[in-house]
Amino acid sequence: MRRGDLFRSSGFRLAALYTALFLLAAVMAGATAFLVISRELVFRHERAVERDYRFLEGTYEQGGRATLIETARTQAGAAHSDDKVLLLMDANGEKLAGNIEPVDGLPGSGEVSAARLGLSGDYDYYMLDRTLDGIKIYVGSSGEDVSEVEEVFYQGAVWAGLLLVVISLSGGLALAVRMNGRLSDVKRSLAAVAGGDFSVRMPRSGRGDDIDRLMDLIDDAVARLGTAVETNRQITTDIAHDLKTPMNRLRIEVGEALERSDRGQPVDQQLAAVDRESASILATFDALLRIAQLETGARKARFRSVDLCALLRDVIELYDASAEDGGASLEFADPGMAMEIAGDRDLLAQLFTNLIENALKHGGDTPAITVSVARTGDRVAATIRDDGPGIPEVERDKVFRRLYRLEKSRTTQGSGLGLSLVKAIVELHDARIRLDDANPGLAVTIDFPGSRT
Amino acid sequence: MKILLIEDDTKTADYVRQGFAEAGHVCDVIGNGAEGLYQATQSDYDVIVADRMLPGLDGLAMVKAIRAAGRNTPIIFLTSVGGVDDRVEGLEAGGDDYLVKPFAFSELSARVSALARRPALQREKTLFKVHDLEIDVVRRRVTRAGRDIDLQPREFSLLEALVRAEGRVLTRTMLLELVWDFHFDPQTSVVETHVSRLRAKIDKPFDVPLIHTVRNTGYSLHAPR
Repeated sequence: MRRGDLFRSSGFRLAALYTALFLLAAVMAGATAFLVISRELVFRHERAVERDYRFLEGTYEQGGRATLIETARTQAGAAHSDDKVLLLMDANGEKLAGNIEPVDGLPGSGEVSAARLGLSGDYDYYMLDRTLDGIKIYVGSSGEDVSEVEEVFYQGAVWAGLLLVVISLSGGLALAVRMNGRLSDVKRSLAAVAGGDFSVRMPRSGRGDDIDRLMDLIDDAVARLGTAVETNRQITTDIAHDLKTPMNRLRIEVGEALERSDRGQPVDQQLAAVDRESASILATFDALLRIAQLETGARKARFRSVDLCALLRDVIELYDASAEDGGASLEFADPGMAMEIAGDRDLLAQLFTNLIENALKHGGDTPAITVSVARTGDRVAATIRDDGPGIPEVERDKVFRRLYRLEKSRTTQGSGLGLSLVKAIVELHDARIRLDDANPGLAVTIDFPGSRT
Repeated sequence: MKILLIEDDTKTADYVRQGFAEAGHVCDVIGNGAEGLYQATQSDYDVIVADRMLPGLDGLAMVKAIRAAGRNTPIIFLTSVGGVDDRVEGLEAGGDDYLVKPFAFSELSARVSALARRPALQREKTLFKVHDLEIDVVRRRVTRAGRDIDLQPREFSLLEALVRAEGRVLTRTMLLELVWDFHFDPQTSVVETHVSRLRAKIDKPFDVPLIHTVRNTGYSLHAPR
């Protein structure tokens, strides 16, 4: 993976975003704490200078001007100018007492830098100036501690910020690398799917997290896609294979007809054979198209209430004579009452016709076929039972596949689409089809949801 | 007979026109729906054969327009299996019959004849006589040469369909539609079996056959010609 990909990855972006947010929050919290602490410190200094002034005021009130100057001198001698400053001046600006020299344009109360007071040091003094009996009194307290706290705070904040950035960015990078690792596994798997390998399964972390659940969904979709593609491929191959045989026969007949016409012989027989073959090919295509059309479900819009019992009576009456002629028997256990379902009469007739034709064709030499219909609850089930060889259990699912034919019936006539059409009609009617052993023979049951009308 | 064929596929159109020409009919061919509509409303035809899918104006819309213009000419639709719902839609639009492509010309010809000679009065007719066969539809009685013939209900319906179309060919699928009201092609020869059973009762005991097989097409009931 290229480095650019890593920095563009969602994991890294998220980490960077969170780092920025974190930093902002940390700065805001630090600034608030700093403001609170420094204001408290400044407040203390202001109180200290106020107290110092009140003390001087007290001495003046007790002992007058001379005592004030005397006390101030003692204090100024004892106090270090780094810690606290004191200056008393007469109205002319002459120094009376103090540990600093008078400076021109000395500002009044408030924060005054050390330089303005003619002192060294890179911090401010908190000053108070009052006039008492013509004497100007300046009292100040050194804000060195405030500066130190500020410095410590700044340094701490910078180091903490750096540490925060390093930790969260490297964490984000690690997360991004891991996510990218998982994603590139998924990408590889999906590329394999796109390449036509539907057996590929997505990688899992095994923790059952949200991404694992997403992988379950992708696996599901891929598996279904694989089945659909396989079915399609199967159908295409089957169509090609199943149509090749009649096409070949067609060619042989045409070739023979050409030869005969060269020799001036009649070709009626060959043409009749061509007619038969092409009709059966067309019938196969017809059936395929019909199934495809049914699977769109468009005909559902035309569903009406159909009496299944009356319909079966008609279908059986239609087939009865030809069944009898072929040595078969076709019985309808007529319940003699209407059993309504919602459906398409033509399609339902086609459905039962196909099943009966199947039973006649594959039910042995002289099949005995019984058709019954019964209502259970609000469902109506029709059963077509024969006493032929039946369908082996392992084949029962396959017979609904398009163009599928049992090995032994490959030689008999038929497209192999009859049951696929049956299944398509059954599904259009929201019904279920079941193949059972009739001991001997096959029992096909179609279970319809009953009509509410 | 004068037939209008509205069909854009020239191969099918040639095939159908030639077939009608050989049968002695006049067949005009139009290749698109808009011109078809014009032609159908401007000239008199006995039957119109219209493809369901046409360039210019869709077959269904064209037939609706022909009906809206007050023309009652019988119309038969040609449809392909792949289309959505064919028959019912066609009939609802004003078509009288439908035929799924690909079809045999004999099938189309039989259906066109059936439509062309479907006078309203014929439906009301209840007594028929063909040669020495007499049929009373109301009393459901059949006699031939004065002898009562006992028929099953379905055999009677089959005979009634044939006699109403006297002299014309009815194909197997037409019989399946008329007698059983089933609209699909069964694979086995069910209709043939029913016809041969009917024959056994109507023709076999007598010298002159009245039900005739038309090779590769269907059946026709008529007096000896």
